[in-house]
Amino acid sequence: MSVSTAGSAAGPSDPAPLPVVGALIEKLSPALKAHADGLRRRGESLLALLATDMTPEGLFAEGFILCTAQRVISASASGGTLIVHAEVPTSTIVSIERVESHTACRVEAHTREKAVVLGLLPRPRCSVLAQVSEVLAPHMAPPVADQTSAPSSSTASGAANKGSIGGSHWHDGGWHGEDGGHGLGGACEKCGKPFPHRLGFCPDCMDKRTLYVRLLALARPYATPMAGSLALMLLITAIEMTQPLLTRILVDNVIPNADYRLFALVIGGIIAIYTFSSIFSGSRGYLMAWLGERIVHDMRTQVYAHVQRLSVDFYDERQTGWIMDRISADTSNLQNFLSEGFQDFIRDVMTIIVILGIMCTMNWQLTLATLAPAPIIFLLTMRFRRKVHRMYHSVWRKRSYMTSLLSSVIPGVRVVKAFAQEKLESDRFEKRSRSFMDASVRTARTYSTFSPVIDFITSLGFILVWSWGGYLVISGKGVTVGTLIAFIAYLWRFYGPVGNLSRFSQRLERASTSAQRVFDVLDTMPSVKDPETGTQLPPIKGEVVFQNVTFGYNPDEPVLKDVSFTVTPGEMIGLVGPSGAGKSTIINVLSRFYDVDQGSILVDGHDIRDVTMGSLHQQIGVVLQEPFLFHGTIGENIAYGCPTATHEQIMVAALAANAHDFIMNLPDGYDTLVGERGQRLSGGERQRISIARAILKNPRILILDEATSSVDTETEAAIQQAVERLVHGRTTFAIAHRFSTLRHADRLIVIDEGKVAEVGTHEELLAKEDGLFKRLVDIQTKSAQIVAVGG
Amino acid sequence: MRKNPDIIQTEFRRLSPASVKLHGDAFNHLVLELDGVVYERVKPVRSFPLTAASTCVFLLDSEGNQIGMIPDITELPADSRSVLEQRLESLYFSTRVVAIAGVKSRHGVTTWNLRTTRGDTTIYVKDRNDIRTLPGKRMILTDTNGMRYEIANIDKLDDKSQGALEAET
Repeated sequence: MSVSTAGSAAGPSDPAPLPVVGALIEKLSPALKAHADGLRRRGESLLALLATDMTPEGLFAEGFILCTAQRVISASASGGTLIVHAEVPTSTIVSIERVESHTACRVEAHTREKAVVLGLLPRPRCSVLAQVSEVLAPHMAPPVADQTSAPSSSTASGAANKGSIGGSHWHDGGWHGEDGGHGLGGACEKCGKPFPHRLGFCPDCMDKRTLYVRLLALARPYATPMAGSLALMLLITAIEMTQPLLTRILVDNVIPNADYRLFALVIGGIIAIYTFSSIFSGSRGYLMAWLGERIVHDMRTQVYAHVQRLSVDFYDERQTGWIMDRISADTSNLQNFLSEGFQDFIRDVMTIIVILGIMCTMNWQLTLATLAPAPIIFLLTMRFRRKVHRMYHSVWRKRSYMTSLLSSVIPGVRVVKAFAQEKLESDRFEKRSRSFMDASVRTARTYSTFSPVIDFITSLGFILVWSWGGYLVISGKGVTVGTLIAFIAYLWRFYGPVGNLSRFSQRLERASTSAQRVFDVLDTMPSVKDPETGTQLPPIKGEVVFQNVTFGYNPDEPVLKDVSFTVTPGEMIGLVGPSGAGKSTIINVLSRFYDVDQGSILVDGHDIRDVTMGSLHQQIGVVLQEPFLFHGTIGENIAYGCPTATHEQIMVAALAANAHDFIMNLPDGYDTLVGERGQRLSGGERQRISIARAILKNPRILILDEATSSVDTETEAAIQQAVERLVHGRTTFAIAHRFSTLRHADRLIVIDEGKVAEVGTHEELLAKEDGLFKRLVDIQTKSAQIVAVGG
Repeated sequence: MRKNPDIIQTEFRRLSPASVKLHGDAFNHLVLELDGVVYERVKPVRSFPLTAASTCVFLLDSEGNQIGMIPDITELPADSRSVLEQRLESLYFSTRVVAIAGVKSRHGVTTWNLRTTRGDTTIYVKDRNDIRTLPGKRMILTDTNGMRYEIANIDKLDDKSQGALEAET
């Protein structure tokens, strides 16, 4: 390891400036880039430059791995000094290896003699090494025959192995670091911090003002009724504002002069004021209620419709309670702010301005005295606002933490009871509820210390007016009793809005928190998108082709690796393999719940990414292991996929599913309520309803995911019969653990560790002596014998 | 009507209205004459008793086996039709509600004071699922004894009844 000061290596050499930043030439900080430039000798062409943030020993330092045709250099900078950790001539390198731990991978250059550690990279970044070794390969030492017994299974030594199915080179060409296509997301251009790609923006750098503007933009469709309601409100305020003026006339002119005519006029005026303000506030009340309900309804439906559009991965990442909260609670908060909070704000500001005007014309000195506490109130409120922001976030989080427990435990109540964990669950809930309570109480405590302080400062203003104003009246210095009374009356009306404004921060805070959450959801884009052309999948025959499909829920951990097979129309395929092999994943990508990372899936020659999901799903039918019935009648559940079906069509489907007889034995027949809180049906009955649903939909491609595994043997026969009718003439993919249920399959595809291990008919696969399928069947037969003996 | 081509067998025997002859015997049982065959103690079953009471009615023999399905009983000859309707009415015994005198709800049990075609009565409904609204503003109440009470159209009730209903819909 040699140490060189900045720029010393530059000396006589004069390398060409670094070429354009590409996939293999990563962006470095200017200082580091200068170092990297300095290290290169004349004529040394740059092949790859990787940015690192850790030395090979595992210390944090900005650095790089520089690869040229001549040398591979690992270096890092600390405090302006460049430290070269390793330098290996490229021609001596046999392979670039990655040695993986769970979180990071060590990059090693293997020569014939030893391994040289080049650096440490986070795991998602490692896939770039395949490309690095590819570009380096022509300059490296030729591989030796026995070098294949490399210490790491994930050798990335270049193009020779590219695309081979047997090896683990699934990542050829896979450089997931910056495409943002998956969970990793991008990094903010401003602050460099990563953010979830589903957001599409950096939440830290998002302008608060942008948020408020967006918040108000939500109100745009309701501009007319809002303006009307605002006008009414200003009218009410204006009318009410004249009342102290009338009082002043009453005290100063009417009473001393015993002017009955004026007296009657003033009383009439006061009556008119109350009448009109009642009528106006009544109409405004109704308008506001209507507007509020309208906004919250629109917003709820908009958010719900958006959530429905989102891809399955959105639901994978979140708990039900979280999504429910966004749709019900947050939208209500937003509505409250948009319809009321915002208007109240305008009214309060207007009121304050008008009252100040009136007070100033009556007596400006007295007005100034009154205003003395106002700046203090304002400053206190500002400080308070910042503090309470954090508290509200905490209250929110604790509340959703609590409700998410409920929505996860209540459906699992049987497990809780079976394991006698009621006490534990109550305690767990108690803890979460308590932390919610504590957070709320903490917020309330801050408020309850804040409010009295504000009240006290406010009352100082009154004391000032009473004392000084009273003195002015008594000493006869141009202030009448009526003026003082009117002044006090205005002051009452003045501090109301000031108080409201100080609470406005709270409302705004609550609204912006909710807005942020709602926008989070609305800004989330479905990761699986319809093509922009909107091409529909025409009615298909049912041919399905998987072409080198590679897919992982996590881009770095592929579940399917280079899977290829062709299914002819009408063929029934049994998908078998050990659990976790990727059978369900094949179905998930075929249904396009997720998009494949590499390769493609063709249905009748159409790439499923080139047609709309609606047109694809219309031709795919699914029967799941746990049939899901919605709350509704049996008839509605069968007709779920085609709501226009007639009663007779529904019955014909049920008949084919062997469900008609048991349905007719129910007193309400097809009108029987099922689903949550409905009639209890057995697993087999529910399964047959879901088969009838699939039959009625008449799909060309059928997916049976363990459709018969949760029923007893007797009903299994009935279901099996129903399944056979359903399968007839359709391309079918069936997953089953019990191989006996796959005896009608035309071919079996054996999946093992994400790859197609064997393909063939039942007999062909059994004939393979050391085949995986035969082994699996043997195990099952043995365990069946054990059950038979034991049972 | 779109035909579903892939269903291999339809075991329904659709009975043509003209061929169905129904009459009641001395024991209030239904007797069916169909293409020269006489079935005794025939039981009619509605497929959609709540949403489509007069269509898709199955006739079962005394053993409970399907004889066939009458697509629409209103197409039957008048005498057969009235016999069948009578039989169905008594099988699916239900009471038509004329007006609602009052609804009280306590601890989840609702007490209904009803004026019906069978006279005034008070019923108790325990479960929210037993108050079902069906298309066409129809409402069906099932009381704690499993008796059915039917409101043909809640919009057509008098104002007082509708007022009483408001909290329950």
